[in-house]
Amino acid sequence: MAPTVASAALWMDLGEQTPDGCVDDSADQSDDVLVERIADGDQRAWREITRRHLSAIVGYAWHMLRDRAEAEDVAQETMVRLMRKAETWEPGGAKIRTWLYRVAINQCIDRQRARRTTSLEVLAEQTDPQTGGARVARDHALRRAVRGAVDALPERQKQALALVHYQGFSQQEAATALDISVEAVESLLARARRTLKTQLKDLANDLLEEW
Amino acid sequence: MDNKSDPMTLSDFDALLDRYGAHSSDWPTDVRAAAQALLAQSADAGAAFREAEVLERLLALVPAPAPSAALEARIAALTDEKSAHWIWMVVARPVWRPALLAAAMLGGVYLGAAALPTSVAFGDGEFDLTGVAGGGETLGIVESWEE
Repeated sequence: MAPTVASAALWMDLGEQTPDGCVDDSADQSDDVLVERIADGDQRAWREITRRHLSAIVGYAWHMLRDRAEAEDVAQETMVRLMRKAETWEPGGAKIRTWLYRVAINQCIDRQRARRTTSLEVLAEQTDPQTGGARVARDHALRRAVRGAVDALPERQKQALALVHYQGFSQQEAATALDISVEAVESLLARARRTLKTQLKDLANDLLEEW
Repeated sequence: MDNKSDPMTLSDFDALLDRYGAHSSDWPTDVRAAAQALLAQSADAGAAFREAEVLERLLALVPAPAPSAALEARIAALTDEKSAHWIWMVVARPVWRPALLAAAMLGGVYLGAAALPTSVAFGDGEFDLTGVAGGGETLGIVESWEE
């Protein structure tokens, strides 16, 4: 007899095998299948989808907000919305990953509008008291310079860069997540890279020899 | 580069580097061969490629933090807690919503009926409303009025 939905939520935590002897294969299943299982209260599916996407969403939000606590709030709210969306999710349509990022992107935009990050706050966050040795100090200076250059990019360019460079999105996926054309994503990335190359030219020249 | 079979110019190459970065796997397949050919013969193209590579490595110096254990626990708890299970069953599953609405309406009707007065003063007399509340003994009202 197939387990009921209510009992499924209980036995899913007991071991690798379901009561009817099936081995859990969450890791091999597509996001669409996992979300169907989540709609039925399947905790293993929830854990697997969290394992796949949570870290990347935190990463994206952090690149956009530069605040870990806020990034984690964004990620949590994004996952809560996925849980609510699970029952009405239509497989075969949008990708779960793209949908998650659209939710995260919108939250980041809302938060950026709601606050005005001062350069002093950014500097305070970037300052690291652990400065032992010239190498460490130089690495901090490098990171600070790169972060400063990325943070100074226009918002749309930063979004495209965060998705494609840091989250490994294809340009097509980034276009879907940002609700713009692929050509627009390419243009945003090209402008971002040109600006960064100019901003970081001195650092790059110094490092060319070493790398 | 107007035609895909035309040799790639340095300007084309620079523009593609800006669009797609230094990972050749991110480049459109139909331009890779021409880009390779240019790289093999142009020192300027090589320098531009190296510059793009350095930019990629600079960007990689700023990794995002991993989710904290506290966040992972909060996310897991969304399904672990009993209360969350109820929220899940009720909020996430629209099939329950009409049943909840109907139950709420029935409850409202019951509470409303229970709160009705059993009689109403009227001049020197008094209406006995129990017949009304009971559902049909309207004679009860008349008798009470005649008394």
